[in-house]
Amino acid sequence: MPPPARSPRGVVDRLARAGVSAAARRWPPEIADAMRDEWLAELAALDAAGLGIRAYRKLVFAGSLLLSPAVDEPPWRDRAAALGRSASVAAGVTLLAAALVNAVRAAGALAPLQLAVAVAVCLAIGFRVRTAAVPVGGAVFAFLLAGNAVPVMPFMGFADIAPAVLTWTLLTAVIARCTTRLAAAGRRRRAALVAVGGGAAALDLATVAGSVHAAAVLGVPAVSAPAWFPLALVPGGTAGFGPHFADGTATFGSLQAVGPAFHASDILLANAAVMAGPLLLCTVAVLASAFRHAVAPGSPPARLRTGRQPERTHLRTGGQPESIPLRTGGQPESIPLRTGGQPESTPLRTGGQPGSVRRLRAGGLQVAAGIAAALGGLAVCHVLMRSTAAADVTLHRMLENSTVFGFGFVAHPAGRGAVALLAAVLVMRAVEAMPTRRG
Amino acid sequence: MTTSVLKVMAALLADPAADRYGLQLMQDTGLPSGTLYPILVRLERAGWVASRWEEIDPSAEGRPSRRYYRLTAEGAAEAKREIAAMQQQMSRAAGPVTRPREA
Repeated sequence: MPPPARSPRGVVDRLARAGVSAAARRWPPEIADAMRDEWLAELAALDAAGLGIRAYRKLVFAGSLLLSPAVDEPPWRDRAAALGRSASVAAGVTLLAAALVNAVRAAGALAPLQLAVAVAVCLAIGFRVRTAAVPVGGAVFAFLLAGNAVPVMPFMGFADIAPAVLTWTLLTAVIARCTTRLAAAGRRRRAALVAVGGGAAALDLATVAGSVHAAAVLGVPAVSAPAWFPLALVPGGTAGFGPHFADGTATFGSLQAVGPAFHASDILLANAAVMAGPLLLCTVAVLASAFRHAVAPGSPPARLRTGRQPERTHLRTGGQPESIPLRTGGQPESIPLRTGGQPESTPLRTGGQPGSVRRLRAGGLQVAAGIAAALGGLAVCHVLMRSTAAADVTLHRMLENSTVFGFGFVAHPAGRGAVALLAAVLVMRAVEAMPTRRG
Repeated sequence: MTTSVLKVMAALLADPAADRYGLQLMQDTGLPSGTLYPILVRLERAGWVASRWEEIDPSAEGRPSRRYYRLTAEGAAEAKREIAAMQQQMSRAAGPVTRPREA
């Protein structure tokens, strides 16, 4: 390795040097130092140019390396697509969880049974698709804020939702990681115990974090905090604590109503329930996904590219044998040496007419499924709009702890359109990922 | 093979015996550094390009050693073949050049 040499350092030079050093850290460890030294030498070589040109070329040189994928990293386009997939799955899981919770809360005596079914549904989804705490946390946050566009719940503002979702996201991410590590190490029973116990603890703490503001306003004693999450899942009136409102009048934020006598805890628990319910089902989906994909990590996501895989050969680079794709023949279709951010690569063709017909048929099926899903999404939106209107929050409903919540945005055409589009995208992706019959 | 890879190989093939450093190749190909260097690493891994460090005394020169690239014999042969294949493909796509009839 060449020894470093002296060179004059200006602000631009320092920035450029810091840039290429940061870029080099993203490169494979066995070549990172060499690449950094090479780039620093190129920056030094640019000192020969005029002052203005020199600064510009140094910044462009470093900026390009910083912004471009390293040699073995996927291109940004693929990363953006993966991010989009992750966000759409998270949004789908969140909407489904909220819709299921609303169905459970409107089910009356059948609520426990429906809750069990909802948990089973989310468990199955978690086993089927890969989802994570951070994107789901973001989706839940957006959903709870957007769902309360017309404030119908007294304590569902930023000060309530943000602590709850942040706590849930952080804790669930940690528990998911622990679950994954344990399951990958073959300790499945312990992984399941961590997922169940940790998930329950995360929900309890998230409920506390999201209800602290309400407790302070209502005067509910903090000592009861650990019980808020379990009590939020049971019918109202199961337990009463905090100040007693004997005349049944309530004025909390936007809620002004008159009803039967109640405890402050009834309001707090009803409020907590509309957050805790979707979070419960999201927890099930996220931790099931963490467990499943650690146990069976080999299921690759649906790939857009088809065709034969290029041959691999082993060549030595600095003593380390590395597997790299090489050209398989004289056909110029193969892409042995893809550039990081370049979109020029083209997929290999698998065959002639039968492949085209199969792709056409699969595309038609995808479009049909997407249209059906969009129409289904719109129909569900109309049901949710009716249920939201019917459940116009009253004190009675809160005291029963049966308030449905969270789909205020479907009252707007844009909200319904977003739900329909999301349903179409998710179903089309599911159809695409289905194994295709050959022959 | 991508256009960018072809550009790099064509630039190196212009004078296979010459050593080129990164900035030169950026100028010759018009590629930014973030695109060029991953290509050079892949080509080197494939054995089509070899690199060596400039042998200078950095403290005497007042600058660090640079890294030079050149095509290997295998790389030069592959480059010629790939570029010829691409030219053939392009000429097929463009079709035969015919002179327009005079009225």
